[in-house]
Amino acid sequence: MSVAKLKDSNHLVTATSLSKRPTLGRRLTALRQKYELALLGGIFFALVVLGTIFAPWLSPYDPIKQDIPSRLLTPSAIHWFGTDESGRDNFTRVLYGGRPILTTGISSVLLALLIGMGIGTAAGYRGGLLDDLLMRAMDIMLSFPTILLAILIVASLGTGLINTILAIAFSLIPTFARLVRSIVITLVREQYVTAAHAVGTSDWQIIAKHIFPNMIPPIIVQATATLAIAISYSSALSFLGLGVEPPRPDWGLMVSQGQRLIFDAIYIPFFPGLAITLTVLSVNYIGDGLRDHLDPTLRNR
Amino acid sequence: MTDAKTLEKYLNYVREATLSRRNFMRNTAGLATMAALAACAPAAPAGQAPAAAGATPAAGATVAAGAPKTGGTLVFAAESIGESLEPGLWNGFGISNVIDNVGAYLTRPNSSGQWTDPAEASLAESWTISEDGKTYTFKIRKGVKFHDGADLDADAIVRSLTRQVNKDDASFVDGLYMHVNYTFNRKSITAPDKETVVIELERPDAAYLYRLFHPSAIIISPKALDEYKKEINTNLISCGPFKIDKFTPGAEVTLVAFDDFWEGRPYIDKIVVRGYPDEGAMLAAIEAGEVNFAPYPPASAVQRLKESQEMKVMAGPPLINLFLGCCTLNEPTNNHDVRLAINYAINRDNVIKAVLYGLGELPASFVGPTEFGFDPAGRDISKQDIAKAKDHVAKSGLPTPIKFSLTYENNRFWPQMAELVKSDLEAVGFAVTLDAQDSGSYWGKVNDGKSQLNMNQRSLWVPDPDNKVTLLESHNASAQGETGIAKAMPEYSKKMDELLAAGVSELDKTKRAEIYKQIQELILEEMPYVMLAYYTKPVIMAANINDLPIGGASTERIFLQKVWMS
Amino acid sequence: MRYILTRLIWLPIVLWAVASLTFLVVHLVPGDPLSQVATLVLDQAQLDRTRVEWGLDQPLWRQYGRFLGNLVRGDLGVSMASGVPLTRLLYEKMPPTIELALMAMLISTIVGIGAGVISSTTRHKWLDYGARTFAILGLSIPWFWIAILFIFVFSVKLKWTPVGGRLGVGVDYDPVTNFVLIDTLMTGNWPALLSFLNHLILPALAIGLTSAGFVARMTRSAMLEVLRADYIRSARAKGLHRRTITFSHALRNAILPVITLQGLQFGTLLGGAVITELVFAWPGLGRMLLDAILRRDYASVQGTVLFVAFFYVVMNLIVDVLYHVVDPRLREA
Repeated sequence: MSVAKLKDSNHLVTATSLSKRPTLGRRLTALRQKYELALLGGIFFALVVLGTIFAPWLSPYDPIKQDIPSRLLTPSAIHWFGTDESGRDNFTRVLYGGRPILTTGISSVLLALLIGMGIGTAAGYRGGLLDDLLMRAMDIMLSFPTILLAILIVASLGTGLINTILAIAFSLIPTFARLVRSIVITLVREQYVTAAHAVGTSDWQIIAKHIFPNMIPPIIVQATATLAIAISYSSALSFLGLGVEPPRPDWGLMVSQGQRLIFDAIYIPFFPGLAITLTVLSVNYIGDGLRDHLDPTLRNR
Repeated sequence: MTDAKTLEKYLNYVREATLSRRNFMRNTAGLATMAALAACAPAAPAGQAPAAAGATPAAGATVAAGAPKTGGTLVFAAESIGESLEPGLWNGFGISNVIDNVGAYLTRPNSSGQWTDPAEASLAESWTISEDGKTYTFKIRKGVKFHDGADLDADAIVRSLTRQVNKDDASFVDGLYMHVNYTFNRKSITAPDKETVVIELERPDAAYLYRLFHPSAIIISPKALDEYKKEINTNLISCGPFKIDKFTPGAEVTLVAFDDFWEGRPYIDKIVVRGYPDEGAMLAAIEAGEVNFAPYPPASAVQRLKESQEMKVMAGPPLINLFLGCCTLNEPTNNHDVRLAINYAINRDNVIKAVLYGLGELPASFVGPTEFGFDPAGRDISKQDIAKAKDHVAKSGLPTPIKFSLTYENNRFWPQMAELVKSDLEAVGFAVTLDAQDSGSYWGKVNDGKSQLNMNQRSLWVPDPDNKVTLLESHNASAQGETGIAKAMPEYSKKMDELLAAGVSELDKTKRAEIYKQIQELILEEMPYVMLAYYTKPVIMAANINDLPIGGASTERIFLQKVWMS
Repeated sequence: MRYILTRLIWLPIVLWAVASLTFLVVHLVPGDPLSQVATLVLDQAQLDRTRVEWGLDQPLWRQYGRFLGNLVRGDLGVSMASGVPLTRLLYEKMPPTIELALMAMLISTIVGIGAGVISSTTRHKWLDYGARTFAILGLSIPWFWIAILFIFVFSVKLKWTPVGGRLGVGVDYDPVTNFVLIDTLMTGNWPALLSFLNHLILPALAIGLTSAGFVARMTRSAMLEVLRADYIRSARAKGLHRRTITFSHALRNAILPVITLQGLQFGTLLGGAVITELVFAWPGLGRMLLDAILRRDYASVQGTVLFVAFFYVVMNLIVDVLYHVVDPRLREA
C-alpha cells in the first residue's frame, strides 16, 4: 500500500481479502457488540436528518421572521435555547440550521465520488501516460491544503449553495480518484479480469461486471469518512462567512455570528457548534461501523 | 468661551439621545451660530500655543482624577493591522491610527476633542489665507525634531506633501497612492524660506485646512525618505508624539513615547497596537484583560462592559453613516417610487435597537447632527411609514412582489442588518434576496454597478461635510457604482456636482450651510441613498484611561497624545 | 529507484502546474484588487494609472507570462494592497505558522501515538473505549469550535493561558531568524521563550488534538496489524515480557507509517491554521492568506499559496521517497 493512498483516507481501506463465516447466533451477538456505536451514530444521524427535514412540525417558531421585542431572551420552557439578537428562537434555528450543511456535505461527497470514480477508473484501467497525467493532476490538487482550496474557489465563484458544493466537491475529488485507482489496479491484475479480456469481453463490460461491484464496499467506507470531512468543511466555510446565504440559518454562521455574544449568552454560539460536532461524530461512528463490516481485512479482529 | 458650552450642551443631547424635537432644533441653531462665529475670521492667524488649548478638557472625556500622570502601557485592539505603514495607501483603520500618533500634520483637529471646526495649528505655527481663499501661507514651527533627530523646516514639509505625486522622489511608487486628496486641487506648493510654506489652490476650498490633517498628509523625515526610499512603508519616521519601536506587518505595531516631541513628551510610555480581525478574539482579549483600549468593539459587548468595574465605555457623537445605496443602473432600483418605498418601509428604531444595541440615532441625511451643515428636516422622511411605502410600491407600476437582491459584506453586523432590512421590505410588497459577499467581492460587484440594493457605511475622517458627500455623489467618485447616478441620472448628477463644487469653494459659512442643506434635500428627493442610522461607535477602555478625544475616536481617528493613565 | 526518478522528473512540472492553477483561480476571482481601496479614491486617472502599473490592463496571458517570468527569477512580487515585497511578508508570517504547525504536529504525534498504543493493547476495555472516543471526538470537532471553547474556558474563565497573539505585550524580542524558539535559545532570552510557549500552547492544542484523533486511529490499526504478525507471535511464544513486545517490537514497526504520515499532515495542519490563527489572533501565514483572498490581493494570494504548495509538494516527495527507502515491501511493489 502506498503512502499516497494512506494519506488521503482517514481509514485504511483495502480491497481484497478473505472471510470466514461463524455461526448465526454468535454472529448476531458479535454484530450487536461491534456495531453498538455505529448504531448509536446511525440513530443520531437519522434524528438530525429527520429533525432538519421536519423542523416546521417540531417547532412552532419561524426561523427567519424577526421579533425585536423578544430579542436576547434567556433559555426557558418557551425558548429552550433562548432567542437571538433579532428575537428568533435559537432552538428552531438550530433545527433548521442543519439543512444547508447536510445538503452541501452530502451533495459534495456524491459529486466528488462520481468525478473521482471516473478519473480513478480511467487512470487505473488504462494506465500508462493517462494514469501519470491524471495522478499528477491529483497531486497538484492535493498540494493545496483542502480547506484553502475550498476557500479560494468560493471566493472566486461567489457564495451560495451550489458554489459551496462545487468548492468542497472539487477539493475532495483526489481522495476518491486515488482510492478508486488503487482498487482498479489490483483488480485488473486479478485472473478473472485477465480471463475476461482474453475471451474478448469489452472494456465497459469488464468495468461494469467485474470492477465496479468490487469497488463499492471500500468506496462506501471512504464516502462516509469523507462525509464527515465535508460537513466539517462546509461548517468552516460558513463560519468564515463564505457559506450559503442568510437568512437561512446555518450552524457555522450561527457560531460566528454568536461569537460576539459568547460572554453574554454562551448558549447562542454553543448549541450550533455542539450540533456540528455531534453530527460529524455520528457520521464518523457510522463510518467506523461500515469499515469494520465492509472491509474484510478488518473483520474478525 | 461660551461656544464651547453650547457645544457641550449640544453633545449632551447626542449622548442622551432623548431630547424632544423642539430642544433639538434650538441646540442645532446654537451650533450653527457657533460655527458662524468661528468662520468670521478666516484670515486671522489661527491657533495659539496648542499646549494651552489642551487645557480645555474634552466634553466627552471622563472627568480626570487629578493631574495627568506619566507612565503606563496602552494595549490597543485594532480591527486589523495592515502590512504597510505607507500613509498614502489605505491599510485599514489600525494603521491609520498608528499614523495619527506617530505623525504630525500642518494642522490638527480642534482640541475640544469633539471633531468640529476649526482646525488648530500644529507643525504650522500660524497661517494666513488670501482674500480669494486660494493662497495659504503657513509659518512653520521652529525647534521641531523628527524621530531620527532631523530638524523640521519648510523644505521637509514640501517634500512630504509632494512625494506622493512626484515621480522623481526616491520614495515614489507609481500608482500606489490612494487617497492623497489634499493634492488634487493644489496648483503649487513652495517654500520661499526655511520657515514658510505657501500653497496655492486652483479653486477655493473651505475644507482645505482639514484635508491637511488627513493621515495621508503626514510629514515624514526627509532624511528617512532618502535613506529608506520605497521602504518608508515599513520604516515610518515622522515627528509626532510617539515613535515606532517595532512593526510586524499584519500583526502588531509597538509605539513608544518620543521624548523630544515639540509639545513635550506624551504621558503614555508605550502603545501596543494589535490586530484582531475576529470579533470574538477581540472580545476575549478585552474580557481577559489583555487589552485595555478597544475602539472597535462589537456593539453587543457594550451593555455588559458598562457594568464592569475595570472597563468603561465611551460614546461620542454619531459620526458614522449607515446607509443603503440604490443602484440606478439596474431595475427595479432605478424606479424612483421603489427607492422611496424602500425608504419608508424601514423601521430605523429596530435597526438602532437590535443591530446597534441602542448606539445610534434616527438619521436625517448624510450630514450628522453634530456636524456642520446638518439639516434635521430629513428625520421626518426617515420615519417608518408603511402606508406611504405601500403607496409608492403601487405607484411604481411594477408587478408585486417587486424582486431584487440586497448586496452586503458578510462581516460585523451587516448580515444581521440585512435580515432586518429584508423583513421590513418584504412587509410592504418587495421580495428581497440576500446577497452576502466577502469584502473583496462586495466592492467588485458594487463598484462595477452590478448590485441593486447595497449597504455600507461612511465615516467622517475630517470634520467637513465635503468629506462625506463628495465621495458619494460626485460623478467621478469611484464609489459611485453604489448608485450609478452619473450614467443613469445624468441631470441629477450634474446638478449635484455643481452644488458640491459650490459647497466646497464657498467660504461664507452661512451660505455654505445653505448649500449643504440643498444637497441633502436633493438626495432625499431622488433617494439614491437610503439612510439607515447615524452610528455612535463606542470605545471600550480600562477605567484608568483618561482624556481620550472622543470625537475623533467616534469616527476612527484616535489621538493619544493627551491620554494618560491613573 | 525508477519510482523516485519519475517523481523527480515530475516535480518541476507539478510545481509549474501548481503555479498556473493558482494564477488562474486567483485571476478568475471577480472583483478588482483596486475596488477595496477605490472607495477612497476620487481620481479616475489615478485609478487607471494604478491599473497599468500592476499590469491589470493587460490580457490575461500576458499577465501570466509576466508572473511566470518573475517566478523563475525567484521574485514573488510585491503585495498589491500594501506595496511590501512578498519575501518580507513571508519572513514575518511563515515562521509563526511553521511554529504552530510543528507544535501541533508534536502534540498530535505524542497524544495520538499514546492513545493508539493504549487502545490497541487494552482492546475492548474501558481504556480502549476511552482512547477511541477521544480519537473520534478529535476527528469530529471543528477547528473553529474547539478554538472558541478553549479560549472561553482556559483563557478567559480559568486565565491559564493568554487569549491571543504570539508574545506578551511587555516581552523584549528581537527577531533574527524570526523563529522565536531558535532566537531565544541562541540568546538565552528565557522570558520571551516562556511567553512564546505560553501563547503557543492553546492554538497548537486546538489544531493538534484534532489531528491526534487521526494519528491515534492510524496507530491503533497499525499496531493491531503488527501484533498479529508472525514475529510477534514467536516473541510471545518465547515468553518475552508483554511490555517488551509492545514497545520494542510492535511499536517500533507500527510507528514507521505513522511517523511518515505525520510529515504529510502538514497541509491539513496548515488548513487548520487558517481558521485557528484567526480565532487566536496568531500572526501567521493562514491569516495573511485569508486576508489576501478577501482583499483580492492577487500578488499576495499567489505568493503565499505558491509558497505553501511548493513546501507541501517537496515535503510530500521527501516523505514518499523516504518511505520507499525505508520500507522494503514497497520497494518490491
